[in-house]
Amino acid sequence: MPVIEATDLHKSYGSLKAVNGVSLAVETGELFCFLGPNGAGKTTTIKMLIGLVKPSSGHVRIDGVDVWDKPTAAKSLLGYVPDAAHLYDQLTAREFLGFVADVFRLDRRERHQHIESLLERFALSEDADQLMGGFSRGMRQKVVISAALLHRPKVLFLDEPTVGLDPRSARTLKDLLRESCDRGAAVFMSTHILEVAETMADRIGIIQKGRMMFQGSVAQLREYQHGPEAASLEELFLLLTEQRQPGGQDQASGLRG
Amino acid sequence: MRDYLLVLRAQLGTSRRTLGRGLRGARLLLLGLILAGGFAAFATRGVLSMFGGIRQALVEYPQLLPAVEQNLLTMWSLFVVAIVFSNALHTTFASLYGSEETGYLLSTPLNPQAVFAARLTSSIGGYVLFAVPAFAPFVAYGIVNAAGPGYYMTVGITYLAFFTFLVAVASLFITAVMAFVPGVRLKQWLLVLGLAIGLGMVFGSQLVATGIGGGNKLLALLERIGGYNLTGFTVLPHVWLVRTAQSAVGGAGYGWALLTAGLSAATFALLVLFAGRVYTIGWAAGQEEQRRRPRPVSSRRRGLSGIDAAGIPPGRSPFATPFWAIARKDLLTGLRTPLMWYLVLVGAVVVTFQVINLMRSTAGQPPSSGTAIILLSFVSGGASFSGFVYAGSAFSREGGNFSLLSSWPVSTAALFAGKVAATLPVSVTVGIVGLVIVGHVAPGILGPFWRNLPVLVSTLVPALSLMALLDTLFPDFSFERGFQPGSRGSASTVVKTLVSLYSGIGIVVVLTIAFYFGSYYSRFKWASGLSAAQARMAGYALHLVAATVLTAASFLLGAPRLRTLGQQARQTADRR
Repeated sequence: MPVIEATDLHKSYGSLKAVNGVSLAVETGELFCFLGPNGAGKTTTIKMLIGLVKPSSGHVRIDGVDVWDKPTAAKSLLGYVPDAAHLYDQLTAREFLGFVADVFRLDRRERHQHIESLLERFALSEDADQLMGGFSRGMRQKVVISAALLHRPKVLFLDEPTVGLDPRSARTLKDLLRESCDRGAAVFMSTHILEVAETMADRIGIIQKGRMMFQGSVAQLREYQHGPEAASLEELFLLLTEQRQPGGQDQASGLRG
Repeated sequence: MRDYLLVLRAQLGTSRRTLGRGLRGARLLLLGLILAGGFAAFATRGVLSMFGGIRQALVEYPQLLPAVEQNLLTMWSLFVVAIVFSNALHTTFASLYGSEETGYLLSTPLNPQAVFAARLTSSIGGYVLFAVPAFAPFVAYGIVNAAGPGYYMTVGITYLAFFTFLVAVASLFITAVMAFVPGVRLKQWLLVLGLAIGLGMVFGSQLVATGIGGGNKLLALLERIGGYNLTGFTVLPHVWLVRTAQSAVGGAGYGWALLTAGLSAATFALLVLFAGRVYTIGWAAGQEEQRRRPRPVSSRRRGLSGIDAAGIPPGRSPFATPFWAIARKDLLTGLRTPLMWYLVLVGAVVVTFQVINLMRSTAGQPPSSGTAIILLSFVSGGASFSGFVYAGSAFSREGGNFSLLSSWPVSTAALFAGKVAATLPVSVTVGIVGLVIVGHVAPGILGPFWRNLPVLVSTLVPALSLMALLDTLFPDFSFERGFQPGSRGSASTVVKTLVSLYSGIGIVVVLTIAFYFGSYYSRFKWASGLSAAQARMAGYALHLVAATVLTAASFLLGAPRLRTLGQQARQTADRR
């Protein structure tokens, strides 16, 4: 059974159709990269998947739990890194992570180990007792990522997680995501850095103007686009988003990896 | 001028959109205006009654009347100076230096002076909703003196100029300091300075009220007020406003009006000229982060943050639940911001003086249940009043964090309850101070402290829950740690504030009256068969049932609203 399952998601804001019939499924241990031009509907889709935005129609299940019928149960299974990190300026990083651990009801031994381990891996140990009001954007991003990973979620949603990170922290993030997949978690990540998607993703999904244009592996995309073997994801992505207009019958929605 | 209008238009557009689009926005704006207008009319009516009472009391001393009325206007103008100046320190700082858009605007070819002037103009505009009701005493003064339309026009223009002058002076102070002092530290000092001025003002006014109340005779009080020569300090601009009113009643006053308008325009122009030189430098200084040197983590701090210390066995803590996490987090962040301390201090000062004044006015009279109801209502009302800013912004204060919070497995019930629980300490502390003062000043009237404390808490919970409910109905996610100028002009904030205050006080009075049912039950025929003990128990039960029903109603209405607020918080955060 897929751990992330979205069926025919629609979201309209007045006459604007932000998301139009998106269906997808992500399996346990899979890293799924969600790609698309600016304003394509990536963030809206992610927010519907985690229960922050109610779909106009359609269903989302996380490990079989409907996010709108049983929101608390569904949210306890997932970790979320938003596209912009807003944090509590009057809390220290360690206090914030302690607060998140309480929210997710982690036991004492577990939380201590996880917090210290994450702080160390993101080189935040020295600043962990400073108020976050003085943190840089990158430091805030590292705290938010740590908070999302703290309870070892079954499903991890990341919206542009590498923004603001220095190269070492970006590498740490990639390692952590791969480790999460290895222990059986599903990772759903939106990014504009196609190189990251190409090297890390098991499967990719491409959305344009609210419609899914393609789902599958990079190799399948190459095959689908009749591209040369050496064609990069960037070239294939540009070709797909320039050529195809959403709404037609020729979407590659049937292609599943 | 083009640059100024360009930035100002963008500012106005943003402010308009904060109300919401279409019909909802229009309805909110209309409701806000009706409430503000209603409040202004109510205030004018109150001041008119006061002036009427004064005229009646001084019917045999007509020579004293002008001095009394003018001194009262001067006192009011001075109060407006203190309120506007202390608030303007925060609001103009946030508007001129705290906004993220400023950085973008200053990076464009727009003239920095124009950016500064447009921001300052919108900051002054934010005071309109305060300025309208604060004008009530001048309207009442005109009515009792049968002034013509010219009076209202002259005084109105002078009043606007006076407001502009006050905000400009506060901005001049901030602009000058910003060029030399790092922003983060300045922000902290300004916040403390503004709060200190506010606290000093509250303390002073209460002290004066207590001193005046000592005579306990209206005539003696009015003679004392009339004896001061407050309008004699003509070097002070607030006196110019009163002098304008005084002269305009007789059809003159243009000199004072021109003087005030001229001073205001000159200050504004000087400020904009000065800002042309230092605004960009000051804004850049405000962006500097203040970082302390890392220090070793003590085990005590680790304990504070909820992380296990050595010797504590592993396992789940009963307090490691979303409810406690929310309550503890809010309390911790509250303790680190001056707002919470300010609310406790102001509440304690006001409740203390009010209780003392009330007891002095009833000195010599035998203790009655009516006095007990009034006293407990005063204490609980003061306590609820102290918590209204905190409870009324329980969710708004989260700002952009609210959407992250919504993505976590926190039930809406735990979130609502945790937020209300975190607001209780402010109000309960003020209430405890009030009960202790009552116990010292008038022992025996309210009964033992241990009996009143649970009544205080059970009265505050529904009042604060209602304020939290109103925050879910009228959230303002641009609210920043208690002080956000953008929220000042929002009609939804005005609606929330007024409804919070009135309904909070209403709940306190109803619940206190219910609690004392045992002291007046014999007046009702249907209850006259009850024994005193039965009536007392019935009162306690009535109080508890009413408190439970009111709390449950807020809870049932407010908690479901939280499911959809995350997206709104995100949109507000993204807009900023």
